[in-house]
Amino acid sequence: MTMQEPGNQFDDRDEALEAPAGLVSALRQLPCEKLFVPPTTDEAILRTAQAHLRPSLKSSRRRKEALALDGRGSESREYWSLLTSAATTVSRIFKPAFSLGGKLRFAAWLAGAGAAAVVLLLALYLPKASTKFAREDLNHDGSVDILDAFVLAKRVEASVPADAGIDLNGDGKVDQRDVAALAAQAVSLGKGGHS
Amino acid sequence: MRTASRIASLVILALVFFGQAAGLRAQQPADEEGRSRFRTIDIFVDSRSTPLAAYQIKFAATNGVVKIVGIEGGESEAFRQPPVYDPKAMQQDRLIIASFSTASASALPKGKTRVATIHILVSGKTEPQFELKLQTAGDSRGRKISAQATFEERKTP
Repeated sequence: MTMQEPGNQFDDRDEALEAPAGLVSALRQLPCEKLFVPPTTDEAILRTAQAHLRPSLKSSRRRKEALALDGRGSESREYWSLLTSAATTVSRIFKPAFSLGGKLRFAAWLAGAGAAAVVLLLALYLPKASTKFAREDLNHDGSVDILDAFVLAKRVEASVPADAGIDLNGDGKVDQRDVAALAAQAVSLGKGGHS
Repeated sequence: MRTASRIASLVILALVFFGQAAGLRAQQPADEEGRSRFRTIDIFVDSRSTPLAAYQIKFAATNGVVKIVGIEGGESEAFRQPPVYDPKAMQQDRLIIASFSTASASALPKGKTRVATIHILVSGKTEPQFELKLQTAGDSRGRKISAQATFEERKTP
């Protein structure tokens, strides 16, 4: 049996090809049958597709984070987008001036360069200024350790008005129990004790 | 006939006796290997001329023959109380100890001072090996200071 049907565009070489009778009859039956795809199959395909696409999403996120100046996750992304929009705004403001001639053009160039310098300085300064520390990191040295418990103990002893943020045990007051909780957190083996 | 049975029973008795003795001899080294003993490790911090107000040290036994069984405070009044540690460290081979004192600088120790003592249980013949890391140390104003942590095994516990 040949695969070619009257009116097909197969050439002579294709005419010589023969397929098994079972396959041919099965293929002929295909359009006649209504295929039912269960919803679970659809979901499984969707899940597989999502799992397949996820690594590429992650890698693009990683690329963006690598571009960020200090690599601090969402803060850096927000900061980077702020910087980009600032640069775009500066270029839009000074674009008409660049079309002028002579001294005006130089002045526009100078103003643009100055604005760019300001943006750059802000770029260098802002990450440091906006760095957030863990609420337990009272001395802001980047780690939660016994020195933070010491600082808290000193504050409690001196009756310094307590910051609600350091009420670690959530009992509504900052006292020696919070100091003990902070010290315990510093030596906890679960988190390595030293963040 | 009676003599033969006597000889046979004597032979059996002798075999049983020597068999037991051989068994005991074979068990002896195993008992020695499984022997456990307590050791005492003193932990020191040397803050040189700066009064030591706080320290945090990570201590670990590295060859898996040690269990921590007790922790004591140090020699100076500022660190007399046992340091803070994670209770999960008991019966394990590593822990972080930390302590501080809010006393005035004049009441704080300077130079090399014993800040804590760790009691351990060593099993087997293998000699334990330890690692010590000073994670942080501070002065009476809570500022980080340069210091050195060391340990010494006490000769007579």
